[in-house]
Amino acid sequence: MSNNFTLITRELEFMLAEQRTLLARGPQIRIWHRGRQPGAKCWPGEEVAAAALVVGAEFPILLSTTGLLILDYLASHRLPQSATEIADGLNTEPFYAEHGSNVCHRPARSRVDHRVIRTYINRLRRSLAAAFAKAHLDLDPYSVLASETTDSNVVKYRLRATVEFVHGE
Amino acid sequence: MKGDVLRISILLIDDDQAHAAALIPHLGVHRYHVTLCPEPREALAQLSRFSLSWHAIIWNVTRSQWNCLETLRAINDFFQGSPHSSRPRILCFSAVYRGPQFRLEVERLGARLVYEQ
Repeated sequence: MSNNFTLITRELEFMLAEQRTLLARGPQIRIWHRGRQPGAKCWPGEEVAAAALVVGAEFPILLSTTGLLILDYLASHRLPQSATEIADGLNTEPFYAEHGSNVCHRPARSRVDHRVIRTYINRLRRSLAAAFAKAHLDLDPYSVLASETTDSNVVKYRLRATVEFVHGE
Repeated sequence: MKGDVLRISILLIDDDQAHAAALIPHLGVHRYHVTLCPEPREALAQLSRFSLSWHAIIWNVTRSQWNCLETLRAINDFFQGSPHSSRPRILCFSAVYRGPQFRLEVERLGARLVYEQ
């Protein structure tokens, strides 16, 4: 009978280790870029097409275009970013300024004002929470997309997750 | 503090008394602190009273396949409705093979299933 119990304890150890890793490193997120030029990855002109939480299977993180861009931006910039820095990045960095230009029939994207970033961050957290719930993951979206306040009371945002970028033609 | 070890608390649901009596010491060797509930209903009551306490639930579903999925849904509903409680991981085990569909259903509900040999 003790051999039977070994299977149980091993699986239990694995599950608890998985939970500790999740809490320490955050969840795994996959972001799809479309419109890749041959030989290039994450280059201007690509489109941020979709994002998903990966827990064995993929659980879509449902976001608008701007929400996807903010998620992509935070995933690409691992240091905490303020709303102003995020808006500036989306408006001036070539990857985001030329977003989707390699993909046919993409409408021009309007500039993002820093005053709306907080609203998009909250929407992003709600979408993350929905994906966590579908995956039965006990994670707080505020710990995954964390707010950090500096000594000058500026709020900065940081994404605590392992992110994989996937590229398609 | 030096010498302190994080204590892992396990809620064991097992309606087979002899099986539970053999399993609990085995879990104790791995330093798990085990609370036994012979029935899922009692486990749900424990969760309601001490929802912050459990790291994992392990559940002998050998005899209780019929209400396992329903109880898993009840556990999920309970933790979704309790934002300040941390949902423990759930491991089901069975001495009887239940087929792939049962395992799929269990995993869709966020639990895992292993078979005793």
